[in-house]
Amino acid sequence: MAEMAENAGAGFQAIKQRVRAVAEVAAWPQMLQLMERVVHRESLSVWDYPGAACEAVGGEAEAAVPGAAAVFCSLISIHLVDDILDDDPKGDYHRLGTGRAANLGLAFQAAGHLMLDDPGVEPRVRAALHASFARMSIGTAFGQDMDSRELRSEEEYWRTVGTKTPPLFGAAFRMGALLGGAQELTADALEAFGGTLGRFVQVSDDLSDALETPARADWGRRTNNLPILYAMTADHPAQQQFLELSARSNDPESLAEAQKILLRSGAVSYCVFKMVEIAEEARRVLAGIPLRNSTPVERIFAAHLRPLHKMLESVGVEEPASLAVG
Amino acid sequence: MSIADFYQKFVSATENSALVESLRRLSLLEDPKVMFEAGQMNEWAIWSDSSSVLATQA
Repeated sequence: MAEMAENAGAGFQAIKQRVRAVAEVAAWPQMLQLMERVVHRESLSVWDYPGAACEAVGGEAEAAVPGAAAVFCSLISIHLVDDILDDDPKGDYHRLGTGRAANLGLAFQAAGHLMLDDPGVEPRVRAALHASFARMSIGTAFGQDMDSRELRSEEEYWRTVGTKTPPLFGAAFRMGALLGGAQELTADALEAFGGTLGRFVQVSDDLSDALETPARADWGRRTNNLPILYAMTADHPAQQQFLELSARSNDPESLAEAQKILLRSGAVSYCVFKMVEIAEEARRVLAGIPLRNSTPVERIFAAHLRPLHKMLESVGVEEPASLAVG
Repeated sequence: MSIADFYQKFVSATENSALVESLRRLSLLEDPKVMFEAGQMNEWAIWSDSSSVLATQA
């Protein structure tokens, strides 16, 4: 296990080294600083997915480094811009200026393409990687734009969720599979698995954001966050009280009371229900993919399920993995 | 399942599946912070100085 963690750490360093080798990056202190602030989290960091997909289809994890580096660059780019779109009080644009933060976002997106332009990768695969990365980039930007305005309904919420995180997660698995020599159909299936995992993470992230203190940016666009949307629209006894409290989320007491309503109204429970439902779907998709070695992908899946399972264990569920929606 | 359908299930006296029973117990928790104690939730965060990452690494 220690050896595995060490290898993962070395992999992360290899990714950063590759990005730093771009002349403009090496000469750009802000790009270097942003990269250094990124934390690697074993099996949870999205740049781990290409390596897992690559190994799962029979390739060597090292072959996936161009894809992992591209995903790493893309994540920095997405976070820089997402913070601007969300008016996030912690966003780097406060320090850098909005224009410069946006420009750095563009630079990282372009660096992602450069990572894929590896002469060691067969030209046919390289072209497919660029196409996948470009589709992911425009898909994510489209989803982020949808999420930047107040959503009007539950249907619109799920449509937005489907466009926001899934393209990145899907492309991360797809690119890894392509770098591992997978057939198109297998790469498609792994992309679908990644997309489903992306939806799972989106719900998990909404839950986390809604329960944090002080109030996260999500409270400023209430219908874009699933538990908040639930508490605003479900027919529970504290609905009116929640509508009033949630409009004053900058006041700590109002936020604390609103968060308690998220629990007792069933909003948190609904998110957990959706996570169980989406996890079931992901498990089905994964089981249908003919992989040489599914363990690396299953490890990532298990890491994402862990907080959900711990939460269920905290209310007395002995075997959370056995709970089913049906 | 939609919010409205879930809510009906959630409050229905005849719905007693293991999952819904567990979700009802979850709704009885007093403090939202319990959710963070249950494990890392913010999987999307990447920065070392993000409060969510620090909170869950502590």
